[in-house]
Amino acid sequence: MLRLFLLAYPRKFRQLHGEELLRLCREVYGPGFSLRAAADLVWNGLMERIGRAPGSFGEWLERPAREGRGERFVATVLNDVRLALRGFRGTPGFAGAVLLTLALGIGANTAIFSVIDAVLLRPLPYANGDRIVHLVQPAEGAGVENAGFSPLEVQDYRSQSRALDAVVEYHSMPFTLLGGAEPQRVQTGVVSAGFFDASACARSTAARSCPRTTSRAPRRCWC
Amino acid sequence: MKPAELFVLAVLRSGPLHGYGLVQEVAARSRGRIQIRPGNLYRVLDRMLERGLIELYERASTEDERRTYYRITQFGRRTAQEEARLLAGVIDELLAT
Repeated sequence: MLRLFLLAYPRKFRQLHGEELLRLCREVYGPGFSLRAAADLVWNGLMERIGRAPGSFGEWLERPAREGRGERFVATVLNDVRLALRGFRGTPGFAGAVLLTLALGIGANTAIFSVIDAVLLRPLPYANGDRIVHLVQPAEGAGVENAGFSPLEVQDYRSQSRALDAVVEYHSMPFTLLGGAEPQRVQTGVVSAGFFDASACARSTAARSCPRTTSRAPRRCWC
Repeated sequence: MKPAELFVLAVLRSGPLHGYGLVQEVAARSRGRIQIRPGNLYRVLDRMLERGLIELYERASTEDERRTYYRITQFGRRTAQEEARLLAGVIDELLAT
């Protein structure tokens, strides 16, 4: 396993010291895989590559091909970085505009992805959240989008629906909390019996027996 | 010259040694202040080999496995002495003031 991290070193270095280095790692860090050994190899390997990178384009061209492509890649990257930094120093206004554009672009992308992740990609914090549907009952004549359900209606859905394994209800309402120095108005969440069992149901039976509840309950479902 | 290199030269003056022995001996002689990590030791040795301060010295170990031993060269001895003289001068100056 540690041999894999040895790849951080240039090829020539590995050929010369690879086996000895692995043996020493086993002796110092102990046999088997060790995170400290892996970090040691990766860090020093990269430092070796950077340290060995030629300092100029001319030196890069003169370096024999046998030393491997890794060194050339690192050298190319370093030269690109140097060139970019020199360019930035020469045209600070343009550099600022580029950095601002990049910052805004990356920020906007991150923000949009965060929303998409939270709304579309990440599942609800319930077991089998994709099986849970939310029912609302509009009163179109009165122009009300969600008139709620009476306890009897909930009971009817519970007993008559064949698409849903469980129907539970929740709502929020304010209460006056007594017992302290002064009464306090508190907002509460009220759930019907079996609400938490329904979560378990969603994990087990609903997942198996609710085929596609949205077709049976086109205007949303429970919880 | 880096401290680790000077310590390696100082250790190798006593005789050829392998990597693990170098790590232990450098730590002992520096009273634990210089702990060369394995990943770095061979970078140090590689540079010293390139500069001709040390050379490979392969011999069968007392154990079954074969280890690579390193030994100091004449150039390495001279360099170590010059470096030590330079440091000694600096130290004398510091102690005098």
